[in-house]
Formats: sequence, structure tokens, C-alpha cells
Amino acid sequence: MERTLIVIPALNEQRRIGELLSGIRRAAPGVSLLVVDDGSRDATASIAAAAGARVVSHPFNLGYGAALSSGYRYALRAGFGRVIQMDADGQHDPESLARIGERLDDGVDLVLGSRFLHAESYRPPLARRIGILLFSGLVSLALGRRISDATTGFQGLSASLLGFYTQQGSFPADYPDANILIRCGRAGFRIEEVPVRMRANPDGGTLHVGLKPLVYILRMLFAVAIESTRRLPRGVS
Amino acid sequence: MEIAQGLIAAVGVSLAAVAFLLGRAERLSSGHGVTYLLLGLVLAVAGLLGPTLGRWLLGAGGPMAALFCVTLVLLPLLLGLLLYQAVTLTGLRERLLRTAQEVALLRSALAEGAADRKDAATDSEAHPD
Repeated sequence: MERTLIVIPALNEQRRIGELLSGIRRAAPGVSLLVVDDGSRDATASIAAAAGARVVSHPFNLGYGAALSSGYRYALRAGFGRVIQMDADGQHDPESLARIGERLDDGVDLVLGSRFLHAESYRPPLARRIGILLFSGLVSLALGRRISDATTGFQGLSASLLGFYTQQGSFPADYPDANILIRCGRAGFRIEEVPVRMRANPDGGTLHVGLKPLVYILRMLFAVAIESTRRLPRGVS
Repeated sequence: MEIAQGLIAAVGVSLAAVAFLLGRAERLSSGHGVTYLLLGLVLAVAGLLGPTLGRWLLGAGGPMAALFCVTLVLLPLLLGLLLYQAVTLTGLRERLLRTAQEVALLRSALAEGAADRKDAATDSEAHPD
């Protein structure tokens, strides 16, 4: 089995990162952990390092996509054969890691953890569910197959997909979401969904407040429209 | 009047088209893309409907006032955005992002190397041959 690196992009998560890392250690002993601290102003990086995780600290906030791509580059340079990425806010249940790992073992390039395929996962609020439904519908249409959770951050990636993502211009630094799924599908990578358990945000809060959901939807619609018409990077069939 | 309207609408449609093409060429973030697209649509609508709305709201002198406002406010804003985008198009933003990522990865590698050397030194002190 390939060496696995768990990549966790984090921004000001000092209250939850320690508990998440302990949970992963319990659920998947022996895996390597990388916390990409995206310019936190709190003790996220030092807590992660004290918990035995590898840490990459951005000098300032570069964005969620850039944090993920730093993690992918680290994985390739350190010789890891695959990556599983999780959010740092504790919503992704480490017990679901094994299920994603199994599908990667089967040769799947991109394993999406779907909260909607798991009976015990929390159900997001209606407005957010509509947004997820919209983008899942667009991705399903573009890929010609059903994708139930196109906005999931709980994903497993093969080495070949990591190579693709780290090519110049293959991974957006701002919002890698439904658009990147379309790109992977069009590039011929094998994509599968597995049921994963997701919990509600322990604080009950969400990043999507105020005008942010509208801005997110507009940005993502633009990105999806672009993605569906653009040429693939050189070297990809 | 019609020529000015047409010009403003054409600038708006062109801006929307440029936003789409730059996005497709990966030279525009989704945030900038949406901003330019919306601005383009506002310009197009303002060019086409501005005088009608102006007449409806302000009476006889309304159409000219509306076109004047559109020109005075939106076109300089558009020029400012294009200037900003010119900086992005040179790849400066992309290079800055890449450099920051490389700095972070290098610092992490150095820290890991130092920790490994410390562990090795501790081991050799504990188990001298």
C-alpha cells in the first residue's frame, strides 16, 4: 500500500486542531499528518507541531486552494503516494478515512467523501443544501454521471492526480470546488464517491454568512462556465 | 445620443467577453471574473436603458444626465480595473503566490532537517559505538 499523507489546510483553528489530530491518530495509526497553516494569527501551527504533525506555514494568508496545493507539493516532494485531505474544523469524521483509502487502493484517482450517501451524516441547512445541489447537478451534467456532493472537502487523491494538480495552472488558488471536479473528469481521471460521516460545525457557525454565499455561488458559476469550455493544460489527453 | 449609448453598451459587452476569455486562459481569478462580468452587464444595460430611465426619472433633460453619469462614474472605474488587471496579466500575482508557497515549503524542510539532525545526535549520545 502507498504511503498516505493526510493534508489539513487550517486557518485560526487552535481550538480544534489538536482534537482532530488525536482523532486521526486513533482512527488511522501510522499515517503521516501535514497541517498547512495558511497564515493563522493564533497558535494553530505550534499546537499541530506539538501533536506530532508536519507543518507548512504560509507567510501570510494565500487562500484555501493555495493551502491545498502546498500540501500536494509537499506530498510529492516527500515521496508520498497519495493524499487524503480533510478540513480542520472537525466536521470530517476520521473514522471515514479507511473507506477513502480502500478506494484509492482500488485505483481510483479522486475519491470524494459524500455526506449525502451516509445515513448518519448531518444535513446542512436548506440554503446550503440548495447550493450543493446546484453545483452537484452541474458537475453531474458535465461528467455524465451522478455526483451527490460536489463541494466536499473530504477527498482522497492518487499520485497521478497530485502530479496533474501541481502542473502549472492546473489547480485554482482561490476556490477549487465543482470546477476542479469537472477538470479532473475531462482529463480522464477516475472519480468515485464513498459515504462519509460529517458532523455539524462544533461551534454551530459557518463561513457562509452574510453575502458570502451569494458571492461564492457567482464565483463558482463563473468558474464552472469557464471550466466547461477551456482547453486542458498541455500534456493531458 | 444613440452613438454614445451604443458605445457604452459595446464597452460593457466587450468587458464581459474579455472577462470570459481571460478566465478561460487562467489569467483571471473567479472573483475578478465575476466582478468584470457584472460590471460589463451593468454598462451594457446602462448604455441601452440609461436614457429611457433618465427620461422617466428626471424628465426632458434626463437622458443626457444619465449618459453623463454613466460616463463619469463607470468608465473611469473600468479603466482603473483594466490597469489593475494589466498587473495581474504580467503574472506578478501568480509569481508572488508561488514564491510564498516555496518559502513555506523550504522553511518546513529546513525545520524537519534540523529536527532529524537533533534526533540523530541524541541517539548517538545515548548509544555511542
